[in-house]
Amino acid sequence: MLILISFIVFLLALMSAWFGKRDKAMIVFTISLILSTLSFIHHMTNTIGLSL
Amino acid sequence: MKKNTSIFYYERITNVMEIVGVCIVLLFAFLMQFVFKELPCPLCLLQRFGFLAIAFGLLLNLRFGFRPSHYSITLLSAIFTGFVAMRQIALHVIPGTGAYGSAILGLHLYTWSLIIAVLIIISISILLGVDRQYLEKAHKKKAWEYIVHALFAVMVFLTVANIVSIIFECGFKQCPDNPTHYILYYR
Repeated sequence: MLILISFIVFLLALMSAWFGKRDKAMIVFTISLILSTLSFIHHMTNTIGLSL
Repeated sequence: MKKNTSIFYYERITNVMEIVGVCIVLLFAFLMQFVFKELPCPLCLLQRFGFLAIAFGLLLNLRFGFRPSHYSITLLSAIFTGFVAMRQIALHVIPGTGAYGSAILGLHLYTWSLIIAVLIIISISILLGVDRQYLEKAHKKKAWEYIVHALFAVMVFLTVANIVSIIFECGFKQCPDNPTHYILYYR
């Protein structure tokens, strides 16, 4: 589920950049990268209560 | 008359070539998924995300002009992709543990993923050091804008395709570690 959310948030970042909103795109992208990193960490450790 | 924009031309071309390369990687992943019926595992999906993110930083360069912050996005994403690929290699490196998916030219997709991520890290590190590119503003030529919009459209298409694929493969819950079928298809 977290992977799906990461992709959706990334799509928002991509659309923001496409429409010329650079700062918003950078912030939204950072959120998506954090989410995907969390899901990776979860996959490695299985200790965070988030599902992939 | 000497043109001092030639150096920028080569950097733009390099950025475009890397984005096209990433698109080819992602299209190849879809080819493996739909033609050879090899469903992506969660780590494979994260590697796809990493490649999309690599292209995102380069697209920002083309849209808003060259900036170190855009290259840092690409570098971070390439490092992320490399780590995920290394994790997957580590899962299968012990003899007898098997492998995920079929091999291409003797190497599995996750090994290729690590190799490509390392190549991107090296190339971006070199590109990042070319100072003169930061003097240029975003290129405003009409033809160039069409190319940038086309690249954005391709990236949006690939992202949406991945989202739809994930929904069909995993539904709205945890993706299985070793997927064998599309969950939404065979409910």
